[in-house]
Amino acid sequence: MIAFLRQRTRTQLLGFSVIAVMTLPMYADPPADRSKGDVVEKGTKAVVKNTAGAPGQPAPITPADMTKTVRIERGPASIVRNTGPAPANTTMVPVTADNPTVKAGEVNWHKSFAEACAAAKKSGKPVLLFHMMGQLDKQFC
Amino acid sequence: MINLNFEPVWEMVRPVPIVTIDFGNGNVIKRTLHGNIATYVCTADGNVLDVLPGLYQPAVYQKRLQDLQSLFRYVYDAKYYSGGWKLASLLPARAKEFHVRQAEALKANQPQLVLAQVPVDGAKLRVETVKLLAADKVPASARSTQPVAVRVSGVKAEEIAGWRELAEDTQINESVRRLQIHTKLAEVGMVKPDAIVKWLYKEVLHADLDDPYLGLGDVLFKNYPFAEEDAGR
Repeated sequence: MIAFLRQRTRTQLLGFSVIAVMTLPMYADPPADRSKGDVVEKGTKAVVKNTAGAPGQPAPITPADMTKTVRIERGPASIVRNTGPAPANTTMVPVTADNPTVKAGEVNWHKSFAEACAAAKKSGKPVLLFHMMGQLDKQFC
Repeated sequence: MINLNFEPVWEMVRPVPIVTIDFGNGNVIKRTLHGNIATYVCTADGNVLDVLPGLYQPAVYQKRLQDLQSLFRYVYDAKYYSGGWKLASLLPARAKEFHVRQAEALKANQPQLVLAQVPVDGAKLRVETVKLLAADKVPASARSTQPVAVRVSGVKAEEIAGWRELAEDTQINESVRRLQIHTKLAEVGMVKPDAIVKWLYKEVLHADLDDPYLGLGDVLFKNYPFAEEDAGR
C-alpha cells in the first residue's frame, strides 16, 4: 500500500513538473521585449560602453565619434583642401586624375563621319561635323 | 536644335595640349592650351558647304547654325527655279555663288548677306524658298530666324555671353576668319573636310596641326635659358 502511494506521488510530481515546464513561457517575458533588449538596444549598449570614460576623465575618442570624422566629414574636408584660391578658367583636380571620360553634351552624336553621311542620306538633313582638338567626351578637351 | 536639324558627328583632329602645374601640397591646376574647334556643315556626300571657325558666343553660334541649315536649303531649293538644270551640277555653282557674294560683302566691310526664307512668287500654295539677300533687303514677310534663349548647363548663359575674350573671338570669327573661309571655298568649290582641315587650322585658327608645338615653339623655347642643357641630356 505504501509502495503504491509512493508510486502515485512520484507520478503526480512528475506530471506537475511537466505541466510547469510546458506553461513556463506563458509567465516569462514576451519575445518582443527580448528582441528589444537583444536587437534594438544592442547598438545603444555598445555606444554607452564605448563612450563611457573613466570617472573624472574625458571620454576617449571612440569608434562612434570617429564615424563622424572619417565618413561624414571626409568629403567636405577634402573639398575645402582642394579648393584654395585658383585663377579663373582653371579646374582643380586631384593629382592622380588623368583625363576622365565625361558625357559629350546632350547631342546624339554619330560614331563616325561616314555614319553621319549615311544617316543624312536617309533623313535629308545636312551633316554637322564638329572638328576639335582633344576629345569631346573627355574632361579636358 | 542640333539633334532636330542635323546629323551631328564630332572628330578629333589631334590631341589638345594639356598644361598641369603642381604647386605642391596637393594643389594642382590643369587646363587645356591653344585648343580650337571648327563646325562644318556638309552634304550627305560629305562635301563641305560652309565652316564656322573657332569658338562663338552661344547666341551667335545658334544663329549661325540656323544659317547653316538655311544654306543647305538654299543650295538644294535651287530646283524650284533652276529651269531644268540638273541638281548635281547646280549644287557646286550655288555654293560657289554664296561664298563669292559673302566674301565680296565682307571685303567691303558690309554685313554678311542673309539667307531669308521667303514665299515663292506665283505659287498657289504657300511655298517657301531660301534667297540670299542683303540684310536691309529682307522682306518683312520672311520667316524670322531670331535665336532662341540660350541655356548652358551649370553656368549662367549671361556669364558666358558676357565673357569679353569670347566676344572678341566671335567678332574676329565673323569678320576676318569668315572672309578667309568664304574666299577659300569659293576658290576650291565643294571639297571633303579632310582637304581643308590643315589649311583651316594653320591659316585661319593659327594652330599648325603638322607642328608638334602647334606653332608655339618660338614662344616656348626662344628665351628659355636651359635649352642647350636639356638638349644634351
